[in-house]
Amino acid sequence: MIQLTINQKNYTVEVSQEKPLLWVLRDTLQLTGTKFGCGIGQCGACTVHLNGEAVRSCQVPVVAAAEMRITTIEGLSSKNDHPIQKAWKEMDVPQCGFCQSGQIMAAAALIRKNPKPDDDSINSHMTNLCRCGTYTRIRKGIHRAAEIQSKIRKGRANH
Amino acid sequence: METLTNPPINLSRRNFLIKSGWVAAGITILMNTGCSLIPAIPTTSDDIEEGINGWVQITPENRIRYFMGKAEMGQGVLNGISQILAAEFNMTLSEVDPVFPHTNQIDPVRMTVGSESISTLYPHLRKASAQLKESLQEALLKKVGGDSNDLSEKEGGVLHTPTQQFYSYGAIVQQSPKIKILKSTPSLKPPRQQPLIGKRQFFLDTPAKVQGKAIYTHDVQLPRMLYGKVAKPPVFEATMQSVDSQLAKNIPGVVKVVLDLDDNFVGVIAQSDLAAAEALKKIKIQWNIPKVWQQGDVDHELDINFLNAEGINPDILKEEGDVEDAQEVAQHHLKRDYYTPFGAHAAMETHAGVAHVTQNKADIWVGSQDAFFHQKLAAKITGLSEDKVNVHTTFIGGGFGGKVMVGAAVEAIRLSNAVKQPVRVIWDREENFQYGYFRPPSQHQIKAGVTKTGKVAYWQHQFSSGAVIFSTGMLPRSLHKLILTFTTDFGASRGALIPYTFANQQIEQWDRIFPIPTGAWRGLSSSTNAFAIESTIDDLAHLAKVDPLQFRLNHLNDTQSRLKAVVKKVGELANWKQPLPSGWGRGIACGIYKEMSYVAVVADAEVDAQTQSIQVKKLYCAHDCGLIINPNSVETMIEGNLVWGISMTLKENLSVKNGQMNASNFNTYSVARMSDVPPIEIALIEDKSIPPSGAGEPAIMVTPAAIANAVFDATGKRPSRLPIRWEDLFETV
Repeated sequence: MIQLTINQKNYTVEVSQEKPLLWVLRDTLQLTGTKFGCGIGQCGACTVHLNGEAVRSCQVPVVAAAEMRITTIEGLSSKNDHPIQKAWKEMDVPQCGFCQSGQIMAAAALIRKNPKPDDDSINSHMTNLCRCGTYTRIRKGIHRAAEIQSKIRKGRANH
Repeated sequence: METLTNPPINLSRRNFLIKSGWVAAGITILMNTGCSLIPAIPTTSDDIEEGINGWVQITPENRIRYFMGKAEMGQGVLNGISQILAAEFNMTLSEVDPVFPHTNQIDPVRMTVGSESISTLYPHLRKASAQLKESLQEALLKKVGGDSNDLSEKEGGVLHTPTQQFYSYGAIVQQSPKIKILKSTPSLKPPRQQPLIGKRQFFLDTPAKVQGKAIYTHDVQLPRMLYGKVAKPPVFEATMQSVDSQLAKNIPGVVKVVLDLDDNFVGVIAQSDLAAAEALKKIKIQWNIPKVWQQGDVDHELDINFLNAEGINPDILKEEGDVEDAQEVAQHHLKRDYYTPFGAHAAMETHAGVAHVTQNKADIWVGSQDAFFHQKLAAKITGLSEDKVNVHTTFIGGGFGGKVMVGAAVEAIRLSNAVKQPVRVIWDREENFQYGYFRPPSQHQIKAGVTKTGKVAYWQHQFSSGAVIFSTGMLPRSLHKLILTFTTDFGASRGALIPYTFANQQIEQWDRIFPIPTGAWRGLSSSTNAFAIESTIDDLAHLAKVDPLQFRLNHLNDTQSRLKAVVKKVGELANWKQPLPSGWGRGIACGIYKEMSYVAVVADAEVDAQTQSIQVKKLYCAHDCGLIINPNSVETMIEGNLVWGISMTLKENLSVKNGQMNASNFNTYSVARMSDVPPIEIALIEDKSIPPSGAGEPAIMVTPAAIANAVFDATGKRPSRLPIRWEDLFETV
C-alpha cells in the first residue's frame, strides 16, 4: 500500500513499489493526461511536478513519490487557466498534442523558477521532444505566459 | 468538443441519429462480407461524393454535428472541415461538434495521407452541406408555403421574407423530424463571399489538448481489459523453429500464451503490462536465421554504378531531347552522387491498439491513418464479417505516414481473439523503432551541364530507392513484386520530375527490394529527390556564375508562374542579398509538391569550426497552396515541415546493423529539439479562385536542399549525403 498526494487529493494504491509513477498515474488512477513516449527519460512526454519540480515520471519508482506533492496536467489549474495553458491557447501550440502535457508541465516549472526566461534559457531548459515541430510556438508561448504571469503577480501586489 | 474529450463511447449509429433528432436519408453502408484469400490492403479508394452526406447533421439545438471521417493526427483536418461546414451554414466554429465515428457509422473513407484531405473533401463537403441546406429549406417551404425566392440565408438559418420570420436550421429540424435529402446540384457561393473562409481561427481541439483531456489510443481503457506483449524476430525475416512457453505460464498474472508457429506468432496475455513483458522474456524461441542484413548489403542493392554495370533496366520517368548530343554544347559539366539513409517516423505516440473480440463482434480502438484497413484486417483475423467489426477512431499522437498500418493493433486483435476479452497492446519505443516501417534509403546520380550563357544544356538523373507507396511494411512480398512488374513506385518518384525548362533531360528510377520494411514517410521521396536535384541546381548556378535564386527564375517559364512567385517572395522575405555574419551561409531551394502546392525556402546556416557543428540560424518559407481555409492551420503545417526538414538534414540517421535497425530509442535516434530550431518566417501566397491543395508536406520537400545549399555557401563544401555531418564535409578518409 502506497499513499500518494496527487493534485491535492490523497490516493492509496496497491502496486509494486518499483512500478514507474507514470504507469500508476495512467493505468491505476486513470490520470491519462500524462503520456508515455519513450520510457527512458529522453522525451519528456511524461513530465509531472514533484514538489513543484519538473520530473520525468517514467523514471520515478512510485515509492519515491510517496512523500511528495505530485501535480499532473489534470491538476495544473482548476479552470484550464494556468498562464502556460492560456498562452498555449493564444498561440495554438499543439498539433497532435501528444507531447503537450509534458511540454506544459516543463514550461510551467520553468517560468515559476525563472519568471522571464530568454531564448537561451528556454532552449536549454525545454528538452522535451515534439515530433510535430511546435518548438517555435512553444518558445513564443513561454514568453507570452511569462507576461501573463507577471501581470497576475503585479495585480496581486497592487491589492 | 465534449464528444472528443470524453473516453470513447459506443454510440451506435442508430442512437446517434435518434439523439440528434434527425434522420438523414439516403445513407448506405457498404458491407463486404466473407473471407477470401486476397490479403487486406490499405483503403485507397472511396465513394466520398456519396458517403459524405452521411457525415453532416444539423441538431435541433441548431448545431452542426458531423462525423470526422478523416484521421486527426495534428494536421488540423478537424479544424479545416469544421470551418468549411460552419462557413457553408453561416455559422461560427463554436457551433460545430465533430464526432469521431467508428467504421460502421460511415461509408469507407480513403486513408488519411498525402496532404489531400482538405483538397479532396472541400468540394464534397460544400455540396453535401448545400444539399442539406436546400433540403431543410424545402421542408420549411412545405410548412410555410412559397418558393425558394421567399427565403434569404442568414446566420445559422433563413429569413422567410414575406413574413419576416427567421427560422434557424435547428428549428426546421425540430418541426420536421424526417427530412429527405435532395440530391440536387446546388449553386455554391464563391469563397470570397464566405467571410469565415480564410479567416484565422483558433483550433477547436487546443483547449482539450492543453488539459490532457484529448483521448488517444494509449488512453483507452475498457472494463476487464488485459495486457498483451508479442515476441519479435531478432533479425529481419527470421522465422520460428520451436517455442517453449512453459516457464512463462508460471508467471503470476499470466492469462494465456497464444502460439501460432506457422505464422511466427507468440504473444502473452496478462493481468498487467509488467507481467506480460516478464512472461515474454521467459519464452524460449528457437529462430531460423536467414541472411543477416547489414547496411552495406542495402547500399549495394541501391548502388547506381552497380545497377548500370549489371544492365538492370530502370523505369524511364522522362526522356526529352537528346542528352548525349547536348553534352557537346555545354561548357561546364558536373557529375554528382547523393545518398539518403533510412528514416523513422518516430511519432510521439507509439503504435497501440485496444481490441475486444467476442463470438459475434469486434470493437477495435486504434489511432490509425486508415481505420477501414484495420476493419478489414480484423475481419481476416477473427473470421467475422466486416460489418461486425467496429473500428473506433481517436486522436492520433502523430502519424507522418507511419500509422497506415498499426502493428500493435493487429497484435491486440489476435490476442483478444484468443481470449474473447479486451486486450491492450502498447508498443515500447524500442519496438516502435524496430518493427514499424521506414523511409527507404535512396541513391542518386546526376549528370548535367551548362552552356556559356548560363543555360542548363542537359540533365540526367538516375536514382534508386526502396519501396514507398507500395509499402513492403504492409503488402505481402509476392504482391509487391507483382505490382512492380507493371508500374513504378510513384511514391519514390515524387518530386523527381523537375519544373525547369531543360530541353534535354533523362530521368530514370530503379525500385529495389530488400527485406527491411519500408513505406511512406512525410513527403514521401519528394525531400530526398529534391535534396539531390536542388543541390545540383545550386552547383550549376555556381558553375554558371549566376546568383542561385536568379538561376532558378531563369529556368522557369510562364507556365510556372506560381513557382516563380514563391521564389521571388521568399527572396523578398529573406532580403536575399543581405550580408550575413561570418561563418554563416545562405541557401535557397524550391519545388512543386504533387503538382498542387508551390514552395520555396531560404535557409541560413552557421558552420562553426570550433565546435565542429552545423546550426540552422533562420528559415524563411513562401508557400502557395491555393485557397486557404485557416491561415493558422497552414502555418502550423509549414512550421512542422521546416522542423522536419532540419531534423532529417542534420539529425536523423538510421541504418541496418546485424539484421536490425541500429536505433532503439531517442538516445540512439536523434530528432530535432528546441535548441535546433531557429526563428521561422512564413509568407502565404493565395489566389482565392484556385481551390485548396495541401499544406501537410510541401515545405519539407525543399528544406533539406535549402539547408545543404546554405552549408555549401558557408564552407564551399557540397554535402552529398544526409544527415549532413561535419566529418563528412571536412575529414577525408
